[in-house]
Amino acid sequence: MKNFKKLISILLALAMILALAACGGAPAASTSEDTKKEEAPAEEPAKEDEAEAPAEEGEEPAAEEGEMSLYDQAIAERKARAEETGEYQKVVYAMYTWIGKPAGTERIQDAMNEILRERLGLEVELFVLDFASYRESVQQILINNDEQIDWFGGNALGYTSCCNNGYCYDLETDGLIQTYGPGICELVSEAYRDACRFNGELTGIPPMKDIAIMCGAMMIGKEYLDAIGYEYEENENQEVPTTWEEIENIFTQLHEKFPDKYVFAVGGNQFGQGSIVDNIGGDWFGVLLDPTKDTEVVNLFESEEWMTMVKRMYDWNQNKGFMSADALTDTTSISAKCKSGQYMAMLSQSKPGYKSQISGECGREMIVFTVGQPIVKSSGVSNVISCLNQASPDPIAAMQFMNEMYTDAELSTLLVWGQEGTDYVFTEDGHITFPDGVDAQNAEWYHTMNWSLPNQYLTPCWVGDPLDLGEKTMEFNNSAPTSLAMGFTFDNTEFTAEYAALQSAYDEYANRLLYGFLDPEEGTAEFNEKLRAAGLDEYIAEKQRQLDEFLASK
Amino acid sequence: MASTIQAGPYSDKKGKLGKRFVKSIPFYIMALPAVIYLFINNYMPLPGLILAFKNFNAKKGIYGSDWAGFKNFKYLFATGEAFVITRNTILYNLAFIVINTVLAIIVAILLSEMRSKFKNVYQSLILLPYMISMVIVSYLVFAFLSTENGFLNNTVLKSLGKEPIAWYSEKKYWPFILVLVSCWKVIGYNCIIYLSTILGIDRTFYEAAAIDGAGKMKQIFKITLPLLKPTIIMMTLLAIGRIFYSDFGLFYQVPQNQGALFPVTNTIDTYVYRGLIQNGKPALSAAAGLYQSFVGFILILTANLIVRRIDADSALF
Repeated sequence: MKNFKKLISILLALAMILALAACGGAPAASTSEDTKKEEAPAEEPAKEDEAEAPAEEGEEPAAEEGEMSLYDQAIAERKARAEETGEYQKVVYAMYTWIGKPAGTERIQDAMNEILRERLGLEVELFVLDFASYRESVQQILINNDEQIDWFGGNALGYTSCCNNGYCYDLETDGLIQTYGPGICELVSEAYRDACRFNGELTGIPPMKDIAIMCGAMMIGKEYLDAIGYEYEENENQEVPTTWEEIENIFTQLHEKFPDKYVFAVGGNQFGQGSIVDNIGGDWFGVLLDPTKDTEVVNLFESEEWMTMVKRMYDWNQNKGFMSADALTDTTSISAKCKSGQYMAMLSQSKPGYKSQISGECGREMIVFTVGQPIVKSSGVSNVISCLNQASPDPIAAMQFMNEMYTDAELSTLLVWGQEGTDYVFTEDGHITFPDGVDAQNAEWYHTMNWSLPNQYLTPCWVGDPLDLGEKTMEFNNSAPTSLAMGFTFDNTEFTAEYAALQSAYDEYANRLLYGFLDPEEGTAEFNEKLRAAGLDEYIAEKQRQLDEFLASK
Repeated sequence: MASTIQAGPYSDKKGKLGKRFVKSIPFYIMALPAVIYLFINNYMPLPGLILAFKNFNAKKGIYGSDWAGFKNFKYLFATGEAFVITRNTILYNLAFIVINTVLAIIVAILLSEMRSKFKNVYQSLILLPYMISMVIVSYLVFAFLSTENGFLNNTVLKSLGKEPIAWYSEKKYWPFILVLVSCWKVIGYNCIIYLSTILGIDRTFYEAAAIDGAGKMKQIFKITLPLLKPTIIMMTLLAIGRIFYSDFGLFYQVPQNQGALFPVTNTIDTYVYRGLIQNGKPALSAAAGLYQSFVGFILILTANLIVRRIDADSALF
């Protein structure tokens, strides 16, 4: 008996410790939720059967008519079910903004649902999160699937990680996209879809957007330029080509004129957007320095390009005083910093229509100075990508919803700009703008996330954008030189330990160097030492091997 | 848990099993809610630990995913970081155990000796930090340490005529800052536990001691502390069981996740969290959680064994 009691108490103690493991903050939380997932695999086969059945039927009847009817049949079935239960099939669209959930979200959702119920027999739920919390929240849901999410922005979670973890539904399962997303297939070319494949599966679809970028764009508030009397001339793309030296000259004048404001808001993907260096595979450990010509994977942090950039930033920060001393701890997005009026300039990448987008984000007119060149990087297409959750309760409904978003101007306009009269009004020349009394600061639905939404080119053009923005963008995409590694995805499953260690070293040094808080020479040397110890050489070698394989298969 | 164990000494050791059981029924009933809670929260998720040995793929689910053997554990040890994070976790926790316990006992004794009518107010004020979320604490700390606008740089150091310090880039200050923040936050809670034990001590001991001419200090050292010993041992044992865990908020939020501070703020939990967020690999964090639990279990058994050797009555089991 005594032994029994002892055993019980040991068990209880063990339980307590394990309980602590389960409650020990975010990382361990997944352990305690595991039980819920037990049910998941059981449900899956049933779902697959459902999906298979209609597809098999579809193959028998003659091609086109059969497919059309399948599309309509799915809608009719959903409507019948909705009438029976009084509840429409819900599709959850998880989108991110820089500012969190806009005040008008419910209103827009209701307006979209009015159309969607009638047309597709379904309802959408706009699940809007701040970009900063999106990654964590959505990832938790994708692991546990205790809440419904259908479409999510794979890029916001890290596209490679989504692929490796199997979060994405294969959109070609039983011809899903071909049958239920014919509009998407027409708009998103075969080549672009091929760039979104992982192990042969179609993991997502890119929105209609620029895939080329004009790297190295410095945006400066117009009012500040006017104050120092700086003269400039915008070209047909509303950009002002210039040089780093000239930017530095402007900054020096701005700093003199406005000593109380910070000149340059650092943050974001500063190196990626500022140069043509291609961070293939979605990380910085092994890059292509001149991606349109050379496919040798090298260590960025030993390159000329890196040293030039970090030296410039060190000079700007330590000697010239352009940056805030709190830059490292302030994680506010750079456009929000400019919007606050405390900062005058930010670095990003440009594209047709960018001036209007960034002016919206910053709440003031920004002038776009460019120092780089246009390029399509390897991740150009999958850089922004909509993925379907593999646990989506109704992939067909989700696909039909997406198809509508790519092809219907009314729905797309609602999602991008909101409702006419409340969120925007037409000007005489066919542009749209804010109604009276509404501005970028108090608007209820003005997120400027056009580039992440399915098809922004179906919608009216905002004042300041060229009316032929869509055509201009397509031309921009096609004319920019393309990275030789375009469409390459890196499978780092076997290198998780190395990747975690590399990323840890990156977190320790990269921002301090990029924001000019650490001596460029010494800091970079230390940084490289840490990376080497973490297995950088093996990692780069593996990347090179996979890239060579990818290139050979092309 | 405590009630189940305490049920032992009260029951008749020589009696028959059934008789003892009947006698103990009220205790079992008292323990029942806690046991049910333990079962639901702590035993039912146990099968999920299997995740630590799987190559997780959301499509296949936890149980359907391929086996990975011990591969998921490799990432904890494969790198040079392993030493730093283990060292930080253990040393900080040891510092917290010693400093927080000593300070909490001092505060508890002071409170118990206090005759002021504001005693409850003081007690609540000391407890207040414990109720504040670490995220808010991190901003309170930031208000002190911000390079440009912080209280220390702008007011204290300026009035002393010293140069401002970039607190979030200088790792040498952080061990002290973290210990200080931890003290400020948890002392109020810990001292309540000790205070309740002190209040349970029979006042006649003190009266007798006073008659025999013992001063306040003597009373504290000869009566209060010896009677507090079982509580101290229990609290310390529990803390030792958690020595492989770190207060995530304290090490992640308070240093604002600054790379420059990693060498002194990176603990197992923050390392795993960053790994999870960047890798998005749930199996890796399950492995880390299992490893932490396992080592914690060994540690608590060992510590208990040692305590039993020294003072059998104070041991947990």
